[in-house]
Amino acid sequence: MPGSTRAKARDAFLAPLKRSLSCVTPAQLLVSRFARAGDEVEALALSEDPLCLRSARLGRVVQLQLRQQFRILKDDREPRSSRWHVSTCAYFYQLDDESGRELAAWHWHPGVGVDYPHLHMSGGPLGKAFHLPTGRVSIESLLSLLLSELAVKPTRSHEKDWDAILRASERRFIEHRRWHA
Amino acid sequence: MNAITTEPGVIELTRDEGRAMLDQRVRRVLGISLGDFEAAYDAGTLDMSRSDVIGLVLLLPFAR
Repeated sequence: MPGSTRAKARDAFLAPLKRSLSCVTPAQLLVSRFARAGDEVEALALSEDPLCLRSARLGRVVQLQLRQQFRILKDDREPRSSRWHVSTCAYFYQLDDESGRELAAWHWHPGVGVDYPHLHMSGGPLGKAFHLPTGRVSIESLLSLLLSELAVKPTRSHEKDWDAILRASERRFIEHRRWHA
Repeated sequence: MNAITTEPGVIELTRDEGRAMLDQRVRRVLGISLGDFEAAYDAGTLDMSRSDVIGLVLLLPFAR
């Protein structure tokens, strides 16, 4: 998600993310202070934490926790219009049942414990202590899981276009990411 | 709080607002204050095998 300035790159990253989140919830997307210089890490989270959603597929409420860290970097090799870009540095997505019992969690937190992106699956013989390797998981793919697989009801304003919104946002994410799953 | 993007609903918290938000979440999850959490993080004494701890560590930029 490149931009000609640090602020524009940040907007190009956050605006589609919020649009995607609005398919699932009216909750706000909270962002830490704008790192105006250097490669300082910023963080984002939902204003509702955990976010309670009803899964028609499971017939119960699921609770979502969602956090990400990112930094804004400059690449002087790129044209001026796309010199700044946002790079995700860590994420934490977790789904719990209504009692708070963990169902699944997708983590990537280099430098803290296991370095590679991984999945914790509760239940089954492995249990949640194991770190099952994954590619890096986007917020959009997590939202798609909620809406399509778990049959969480989309917000009223996005009943008909949530799939298109998520696909468009995911496509931009894939086009501009600096890593490959 | 400031709305900061062309898309409504993205809110940038000030350091004080970020600290208040994180203090609330740390107290709810771990039962300690943000100050104690930060001190343990800086001392390297947090139990980083706990996913709830890692989830809170990822929010530290809100407080710093």
